Amino acid sequence: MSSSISSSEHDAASIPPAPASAARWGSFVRGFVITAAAVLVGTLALAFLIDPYDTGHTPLSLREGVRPQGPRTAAASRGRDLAFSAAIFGNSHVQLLSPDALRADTGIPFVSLIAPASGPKEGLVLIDWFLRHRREPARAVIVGIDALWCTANPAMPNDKPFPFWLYSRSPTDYLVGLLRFDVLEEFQRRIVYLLTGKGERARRDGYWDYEPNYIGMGYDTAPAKRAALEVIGESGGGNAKGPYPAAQALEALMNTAPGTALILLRPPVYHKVLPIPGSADAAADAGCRDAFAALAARRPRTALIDWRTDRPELRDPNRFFDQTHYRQSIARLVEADIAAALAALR
Amino acid sequence: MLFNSFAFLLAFLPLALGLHWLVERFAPRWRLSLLLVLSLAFYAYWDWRFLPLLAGSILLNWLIAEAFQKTRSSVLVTLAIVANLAILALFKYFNFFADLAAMIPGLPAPRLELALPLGISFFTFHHVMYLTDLRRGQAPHYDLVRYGLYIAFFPQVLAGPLVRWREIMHQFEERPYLRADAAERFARGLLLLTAGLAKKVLLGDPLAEYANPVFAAAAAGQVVSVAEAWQGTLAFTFQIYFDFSGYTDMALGLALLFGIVLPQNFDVPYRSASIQDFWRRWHMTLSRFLRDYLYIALGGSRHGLSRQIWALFATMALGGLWHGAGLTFVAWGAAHGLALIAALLWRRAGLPMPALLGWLLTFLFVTLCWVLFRATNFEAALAIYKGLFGLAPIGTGFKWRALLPAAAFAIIGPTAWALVNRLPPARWLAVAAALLFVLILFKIGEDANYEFIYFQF
Repeated sequence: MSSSISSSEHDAASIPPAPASAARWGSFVRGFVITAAAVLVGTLALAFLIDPYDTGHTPLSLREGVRPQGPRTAAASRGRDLAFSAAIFGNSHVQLLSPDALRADTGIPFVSLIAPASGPKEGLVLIDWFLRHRREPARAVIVGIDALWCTANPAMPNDKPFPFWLYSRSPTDYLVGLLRFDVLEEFQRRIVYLLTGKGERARRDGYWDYEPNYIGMGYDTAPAKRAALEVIGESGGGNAKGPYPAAQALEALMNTAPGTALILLRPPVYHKVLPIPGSADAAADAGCRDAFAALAARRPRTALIDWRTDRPELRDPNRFFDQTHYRQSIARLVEADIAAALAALR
Repeated sequence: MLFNSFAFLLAFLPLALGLHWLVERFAPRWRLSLLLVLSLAFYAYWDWRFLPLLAGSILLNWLIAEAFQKTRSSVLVTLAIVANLAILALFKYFNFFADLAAMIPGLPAPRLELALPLGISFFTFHHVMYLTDLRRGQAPHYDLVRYGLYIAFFPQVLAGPLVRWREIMHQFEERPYLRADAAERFARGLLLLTAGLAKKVLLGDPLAEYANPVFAAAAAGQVVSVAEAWQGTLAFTFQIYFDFSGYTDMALGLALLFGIVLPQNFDVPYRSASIQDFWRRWHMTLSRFLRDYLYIALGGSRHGLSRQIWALFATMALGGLWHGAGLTFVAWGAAHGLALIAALLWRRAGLPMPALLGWLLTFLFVTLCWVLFRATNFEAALAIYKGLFGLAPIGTGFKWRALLPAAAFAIIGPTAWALVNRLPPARWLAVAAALLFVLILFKIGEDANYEFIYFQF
């Protein structure tokens, strides 16, 4: 035949016997297996002991806190911090709520355990983490209920990676989770943080103001970005008939902490994405709102704060960077509503 | 389960090796049965619902071979081959042909939403190879366990290599751990597994981050700049090599751990100085299959030039279709067929081709063709080609850091197979390989862990 698509024929059993003795190859195999097992177990043991994300799994008594890092991993340490007895959960839609401001308004020490670009699956895991690391029952939990919480999918799939292993109740999940390159990269920084005692510690209350970043990217002035604010859109979540598994899961979880006040916050959005009355988007929005309102009605010490209603502040473009990310002036108003709701629940 | 997963590397493999060693040592007559059970368990781990398909196809083909032994009726074998191809067509190509039919006005074109059973393209070809050779009187009949293991042997069942029965069956009869070179084989198996994992995880996967966004943008109808198009195309060119050849190295290494030597599948293909040389070095066992069971059946080179040209084109176009149920894959195969025909005519005309120019032309052609292979449709491919040929904005931010080591390894070589066969049994090497293996385990633990590209074929 033509050689055009021919391939080399290889005698399948053609690995040539090496001159080295079988004993040397046997020693090679033992060397490989023993080294791999020893290094793997040793590295995992070290990771377990230095507790790279301050989860409290280690038997050692280490310096509290973690170095500055993203909220997805830093929340493990913050969520265990007994200096706080209340917490904020959700994504960037509640990121601007200030623990300091809430503390000033309510007298309750708040920590922000939000994870940007996360949904109910991540939120529920973080709430569980926070609740199970209290010595005293938590005083309040605030949850940002945006459209992601309206999903009908019981799996509540997450869009962006999230370290579920870090917050797992299973020690095996945690140990397997330590087996990742990120942990190796964390070793040196963690050891410096622990041994010198001088490394910078991540902000304890988890607050991070996104305003400078948005302003740096021109969201307050760039004509195209300002114009994008005025485009009519939908934000109802697309699930008018239910079920709403996130509401069910949240209720089940919060029932483990009956004394804790629960604030369900439907975060503000720019008026251009508020549902148009009579539309399918409005039906979906109402369906989801009713599910969480029913939760609030059933559960003691629970309130729903609904900022997804047409009000003058939501028509002011200077109070928004984009259609779902508001500025500090709105955050102050929301904080005041939360403080009032908590006062009413006492 | 993926070879590059904890479930496989830390659970299935140690357990399988332990059981295999025990059985090989104390009850060797059960060794093949154990390997078959392990292989079926490995396959079922993906989706147990597909296990009856694999087991059923083994049983039916074996029964037909049994019947052929008694009746010598070649019609039986022909029917069996047709049935195998029909099942493959049902799962893999039904919607492809339905969509083609839908282009004809008035013709009803029902669609079937069937999940593609993993490895079906590969185990179908294994059946075809054996049955064809059985009909030719070249292959003997085997018992059900041996035949089942030939088809389902877990290192090869999902993505090859395509192994001929005569390459593997005699090895089943051995006591692999009693061989004089048993330890050497085991050690080289560990090295090949580690090398394959390194190629996949350390070289191939980082390139996915260069290629995926570019092809996704093209699929979304966005303009792809010159810089992005070259970044994405070059990245995929090397990604698919390290992904697939890395998989093959792992398969070969794993088989060696169980005392079986599988044929190699790659031989530094991006060093090829001609397109026919490329197909001698790329997916070698598929090239071999296409040559022996399709190209020759279509007439090969013994019935004149025009017949040979037709056979080449048809073989490559069908080879393209085998890779995926889409016209882009057919176009990819057809383009390679045309290039092989051009090279054939060039050779026949006695025209010269300097080696360096031949390499450059071959590499460029193969690279450009990968666009058809990777793009989700012709519109997306066109968007990439516009960028590649300068019909788009120049763009900025060409990412090259992960491309450099990949290009160096892929073009300069050597292959992992050749390298591993040259390494001595030095203790420092065992330690270094073990450290690399552990490092890879930590990389596998990251969230961005990619499946093998060839699993979809």
